[in-house]
Amino acid sequence: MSADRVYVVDRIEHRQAVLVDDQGATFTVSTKDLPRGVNEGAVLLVKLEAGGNPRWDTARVDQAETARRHAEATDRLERLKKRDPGGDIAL
Amino acid sequence: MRWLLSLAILTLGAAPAAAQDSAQAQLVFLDVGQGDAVLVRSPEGRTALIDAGPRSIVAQLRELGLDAIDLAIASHPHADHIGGMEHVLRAFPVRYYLDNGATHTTMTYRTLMRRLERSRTTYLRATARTITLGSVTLRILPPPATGTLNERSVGVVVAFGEFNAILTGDSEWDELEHFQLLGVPDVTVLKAAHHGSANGVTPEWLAATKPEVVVISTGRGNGYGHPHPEALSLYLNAATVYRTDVHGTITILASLDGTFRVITAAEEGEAAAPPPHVR
Repeated sequence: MSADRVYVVDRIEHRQAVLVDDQGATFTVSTKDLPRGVNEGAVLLVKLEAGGNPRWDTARVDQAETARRHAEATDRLERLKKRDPGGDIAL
Repeated sequence: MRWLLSLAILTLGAAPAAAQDSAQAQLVFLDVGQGDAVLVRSPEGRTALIDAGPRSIVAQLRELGLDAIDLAIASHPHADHIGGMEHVLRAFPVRYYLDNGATHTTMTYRTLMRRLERSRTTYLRATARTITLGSVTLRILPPPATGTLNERSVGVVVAFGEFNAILTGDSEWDELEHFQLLGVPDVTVLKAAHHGSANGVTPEWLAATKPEVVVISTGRGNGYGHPHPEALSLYLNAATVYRTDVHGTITILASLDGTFRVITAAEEGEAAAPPPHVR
């Protein structure tokens, strides 16, 4: 069995989840084939078939990695916000 | 100088052949497939890019004569709106960058934000503020603090004299109501929220904005059923509808008195305003 691959739920459109892998490729999967209650932003670990195709029925949420990525993004955003001069801008 | 270069390239026939004159503002709804990317250009040559499609749009922007971007706005961090943004930041000097302040966990978002942090671009929060691009103003409509990423899309009212346009990313019903409470003007052009999804329009929203033209940015043969027939029916009853999946890139040339022309890549020509009601 191959190692798990990471996919992230980018968005959910009409009961279809749009997943993005870490190389930027997108996959549309029925939410019925994913863990119940999965939300946008969830980092999923998915096993691959021998041919390399993802087996969506094996998907499980990596809670720790999901939280780590959110925390990383929040920290970066807080640093970026310090650049904001505030008020209206004239260009 | 930047304006002269842009005009020269357009005159030489770069698509779309939008002959913007020195008194006109320009809105270009780029054909990016299933996603959004809209370029706003003032008569003075100032530019704002609102979303950047699912993948690189650098070639399209270069064809339009761009060599710099004054303001980039990410309405929300879904890949069909920011997939091409990191490419834009790499290819062009971008003075300001504004987003909805909502984080995401995709590599698409993380790569973009790393690039932004390494750059000299000034980050702007989506507060109730006005950003002036020469004679064009962008009024930022702040999203609600909570909700899905779609429901936290940044709203933008583009104003040029009597001409107004409103763009609200992938807003759904609750956020459209939120924007109505903030106050929205009658507009000439409305970008259909959420690619023409049924949850991106209400009769109340159309009554509040009174658009003359609706532009739906969506991909040919997309698997989401965009635009939804009910939404399309509402739009067609209210305005003239243009679709990037049908018309390709759609360019609107606006004048201070509120008159405008619509030029589509598909027609390789122009429809003088007011255009036919149903297209």
